[in-house]
Amino acid sequence: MADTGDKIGKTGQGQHQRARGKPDKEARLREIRCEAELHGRVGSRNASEDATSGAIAGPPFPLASAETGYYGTPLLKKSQWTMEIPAYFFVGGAAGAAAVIASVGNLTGADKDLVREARWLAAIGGAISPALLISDLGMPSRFLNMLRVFKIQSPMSVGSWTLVAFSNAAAASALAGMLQSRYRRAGAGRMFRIIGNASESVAALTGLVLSTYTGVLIGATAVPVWSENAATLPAHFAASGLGAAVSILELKGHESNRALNALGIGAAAAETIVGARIESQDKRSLRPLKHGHSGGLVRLGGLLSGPLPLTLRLLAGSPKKHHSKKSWRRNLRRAAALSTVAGSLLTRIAWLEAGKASQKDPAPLLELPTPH
Amino acid sequence: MYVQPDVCNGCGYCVVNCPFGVIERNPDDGRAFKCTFCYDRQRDGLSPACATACPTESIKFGEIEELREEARERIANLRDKGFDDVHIYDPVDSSVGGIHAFFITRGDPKSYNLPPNPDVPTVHLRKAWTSAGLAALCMVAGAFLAFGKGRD
Repeated sequence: MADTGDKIGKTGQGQHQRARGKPDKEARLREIRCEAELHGRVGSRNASEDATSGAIAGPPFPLASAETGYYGTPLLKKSQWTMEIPAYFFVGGAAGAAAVIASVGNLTGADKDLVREARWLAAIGGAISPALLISDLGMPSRFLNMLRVFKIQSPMSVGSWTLVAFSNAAAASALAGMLQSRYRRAGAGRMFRIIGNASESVAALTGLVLSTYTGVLIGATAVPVWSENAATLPAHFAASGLGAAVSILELKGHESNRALNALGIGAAAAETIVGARIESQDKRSLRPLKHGHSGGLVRLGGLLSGPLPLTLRLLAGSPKKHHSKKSWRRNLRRAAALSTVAGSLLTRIAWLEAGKASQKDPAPLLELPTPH
Repeated sequence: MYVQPDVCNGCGYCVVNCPFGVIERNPDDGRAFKCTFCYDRQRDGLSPACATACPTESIKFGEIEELREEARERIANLRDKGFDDVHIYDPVDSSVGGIHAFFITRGDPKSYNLPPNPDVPTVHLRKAWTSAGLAALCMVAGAFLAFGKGRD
């Protein structure tokens, strides 16, 4: 190399050699093109041995199989989402549902403490969520580009705008509630109450979208295990988010609230149905939900969010005022709440892992026959 | 499709949405990248570099309809010569509605990692948003029921 460089530098001989070599290669290429055009094939060495016979012996490539796919290379690219994404699904889902609890609780005249804490749960979740999402971006400094356009057909765009509205409204309602109780003088108190209630309504409406759209987000993709569950995922995640919100509020000291317990039973029942549906289906594309590492996570998450808390809550019965604080029923409900929170987080992790497993399996998308 | 490198913030949603597994996020840079059909060269009136460099003109660039016509002729020509296993891969009948970079293959396109029935992910939107809407309704109705009854 050094030698050649030297020659070019001194005499230009290298360039001369290159120029001299070029016409030969071009002539050979023209020859190949002519031959290909005339005969439909190139019969030189390195081409198929059978070329002279005019018949093709067989494809010079291996057939794709369910085991190896295309030389063991998956059709889909691996999702590059990290743990922030399932963490966000969990936090955003719980926060969205908390805003709904706060708003409906407020409208129906529920316990003031519960409404206040539900507002704060929504506000805190609404503050953590963007941080999680931004840290997962390839270029976090460009996070504002998410709000460059609004695209109704993109769940990512709809979700980004929803989250911005939600975070602001939830924070406003929590702060207004705090200021309302601090400044009770006639004018100020009333103003903060109006601001609090208005922003609470916005938070509840956007919260409904926030706790469901994440299911749409992964459901409307090219990943088979997600897209095949596009009709299940939003409802599944809504139940998971509601269960988590209810449980966090119960663990904050509202474990004797009858409404929360009823909602907890509803969410656990819905999760039990989803779990049963997943278990009853048997399809290659749904394998990641039942087999391997992701299958184990889906099952554990499902058990902790569905049948286990449902049984515990039913055993505990409906909360009654006269039950003492140390009642075993209360402990059962606390156990159900802990299980639901863990199950909700695990469920989101499990679905993301199932997606990764699904992206590695070429069989469903290539419609390859699979041995049973 | 062209990814604007000055706008992309690397959210990674395109990666899970590409039915052909083409686009990917560059781990060093954070942004998503795919072939641009040499956007820069085309702006200067040049053909994409791959089509220009290909020694056997196996890669061709041009007007999509002209290329489709040429591909049909080529298939007919090859079949005449006894190549019974030639196929054109351009899923026009799928929800993708055809592609702008299509292939002539020998053997089943599946063997080249080309999905026979790719879907545009937006076809799943309707049922997904329906599920979201119903779930939201249930959540609100459930909350009103629970809090209405729980008041005592």
